[in-house]
Amino acid sequence: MRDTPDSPNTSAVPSGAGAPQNLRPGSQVMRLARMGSSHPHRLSFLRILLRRAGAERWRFSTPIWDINAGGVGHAVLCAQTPERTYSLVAFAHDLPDAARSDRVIATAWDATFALFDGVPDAEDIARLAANVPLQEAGRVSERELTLSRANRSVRLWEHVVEALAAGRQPDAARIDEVGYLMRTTAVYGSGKFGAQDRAAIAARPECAAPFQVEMLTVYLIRAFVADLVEHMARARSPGAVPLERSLRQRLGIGNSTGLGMAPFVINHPALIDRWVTARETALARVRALEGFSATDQAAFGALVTRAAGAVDRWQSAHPVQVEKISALKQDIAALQGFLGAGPIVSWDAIAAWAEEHLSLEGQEWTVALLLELQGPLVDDLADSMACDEDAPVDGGQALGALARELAETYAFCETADWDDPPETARIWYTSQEKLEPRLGERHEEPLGAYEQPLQPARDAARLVAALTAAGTPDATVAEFLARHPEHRHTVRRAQLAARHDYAEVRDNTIHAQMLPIDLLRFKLAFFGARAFDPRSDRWVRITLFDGAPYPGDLTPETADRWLN
Amino acid sequence: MVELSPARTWALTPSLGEVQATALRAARGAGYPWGLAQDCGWAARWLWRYGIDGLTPLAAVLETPGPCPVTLGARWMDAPDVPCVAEVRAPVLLIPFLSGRDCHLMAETGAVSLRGGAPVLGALPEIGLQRIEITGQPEAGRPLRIASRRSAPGEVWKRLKRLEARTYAPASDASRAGAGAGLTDND
Repeated sequence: MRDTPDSPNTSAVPSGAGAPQNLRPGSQVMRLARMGSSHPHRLSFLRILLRRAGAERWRFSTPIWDINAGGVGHAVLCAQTPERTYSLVAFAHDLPDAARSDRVIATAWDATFALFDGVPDAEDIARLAANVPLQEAGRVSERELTLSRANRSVRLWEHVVEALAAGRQPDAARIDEVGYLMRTTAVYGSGKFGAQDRAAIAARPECAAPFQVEMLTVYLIRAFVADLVEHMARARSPGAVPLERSLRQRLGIGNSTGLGMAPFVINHPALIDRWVTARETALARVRALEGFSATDQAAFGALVTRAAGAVDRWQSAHPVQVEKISALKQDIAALQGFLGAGPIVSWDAIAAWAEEHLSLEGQEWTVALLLELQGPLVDDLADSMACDEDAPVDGGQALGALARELAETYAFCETADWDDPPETARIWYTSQEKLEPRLGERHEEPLGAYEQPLQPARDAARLVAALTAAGTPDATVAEFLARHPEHRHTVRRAQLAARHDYAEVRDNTIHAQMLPIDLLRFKLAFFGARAFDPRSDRWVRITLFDGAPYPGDLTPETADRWLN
Repeated sequence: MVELSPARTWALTPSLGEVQATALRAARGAGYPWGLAQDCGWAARWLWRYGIDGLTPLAAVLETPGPCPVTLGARWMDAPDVPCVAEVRAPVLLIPFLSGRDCHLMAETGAVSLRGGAPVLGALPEIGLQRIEITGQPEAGRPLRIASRRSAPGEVWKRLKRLEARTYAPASDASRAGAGAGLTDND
């Protein structure tokens, strides 16, 4: 738990990193139901990328466009930062409909991509042409920062090509309904399949925040796809027209995310703590602002109205999400009622009211909006969202102190009966067939030997039992682990979680009722995704960059004013 | 359809992430508890970053029983103590665990000092079982710098991948359904 100042006004002047702040505790923020209600905000990774690209006036160009009338070939799109150039090398394929699958296990795609560190020469492109279309079955090198692929939305792609070729604009309602012309099914970074390790580029200012090269990849893919759809229309008819600017801007890049992303949230506790600390510190700074002027009221009211429009366009067929969207709409009406009912005394009053009156979906939506108008106050926190993830065990700690920390971090499952089958119903494992994370039914399938360490709550309970059995509170962790190495990963994690309030997921990740999409949404919201559309309890579709300015339109003014 | 390239696995120049993940999974496949398997991954990556092949000694350690340098290293890191005398195989794998303090590792077949967190190489110890001593006095010399990428011996990589494969559940209809897709995704 964090210290709470006696008076909420004691830290009225916003302060820099490290100053005492009134943050929401991990026991509140890191519950799965709330993580699964996350919304994108100013500190989401694609926002950080576009702010920097706009502020530094990155220059974008397409030096190579070698794609034939059948839509097959390659292109190179460059982003030039003050010090470096990054190049998306894009390969367009002619994929028959029957071969198109969003599953990560697919072996063919409509388009494949690598982000090259620099400007590729002909030899680089030849090497990439032999590997990138193979994706996981190929190899890239330390010259490449990401590897990715995308499939068309068949329903929207053909509609747009047909309309443009006929000299008219596509139907705006259909564009809104789908939201993207292509969706990525994986964007691999940091050392995957031979690509450069993040550690090697983390010191570059434009790569310091998390997932910046991955976000740049998707941003350039979006530009490539918009150009490609116009290219295909022109190939079909000389009378083709370009896509009207506002329609073009509405298009994002879709993404299908399955279970593969879920373990990341559990496997990177120190990093997750940095992300959430940044967001929560931003919120605390806003809540510490004094006063709420008529100007504030007008600006925030207008923001709520604009953001409500995006919620109106949010579509999902998943019953859980349908219910949450419906609750959010009621929340928005209630929030608008609260804002209109009388003078608001402070930003904090809005946050406190939301916490008391709104659903989790509405509360977290409000948190994102509270940050939105406060760029100068919070944007510097983008620089604090990465970290060194090494977590050595503190061998000198007394077992009694470790036990107290465990009791606090894992208080949420203090009363869980781990012999009750639903508590351990699920099992995380990796399948031999496709080397992908899976979630199985522990009590129905013989999977125990293959369990991955993705159940920190149960493992903590086992550690607590072992500490109790040892009965030596004054002995050290080093002495205990020498006899019980099977608890080493749990000790490491518990010690980290005691120092970092947002490191641990405060829920049982193998419970029968656990929804993996909560983990996925938490991460995707930090990416900057919205329009979350769960397709099952373990697979979600989103869009990225919908509404964002295209490279040619990116300026310091436009970079941040498009989301709502 | 795309043909998989049969030659893709060889002449492999892995990223640090691949070295770490492969070492971790291989150690788990060899039966190490998760925490020590994590330490194996961390140690292999630490060495690789300096251009030192930690995978060849790791494969040897994982494949045959005997006094394990990662187990010893983790214990030493939990409670650093000099001088420390032990019998251990592949002492090169001890090096990362000593990096938290300035010290000297003397083995029968080589010696390494640690200064400011970086290794100062004498001769890299061989893989066989030997007596080692850790003392608090590092020797003079220039610490190694971060190296550029190096290739992995293909035969060692294969052996580690064989161990890694033991951590993967055989495919079944249930595992195929376990990823969660099911609705048509070709829209």
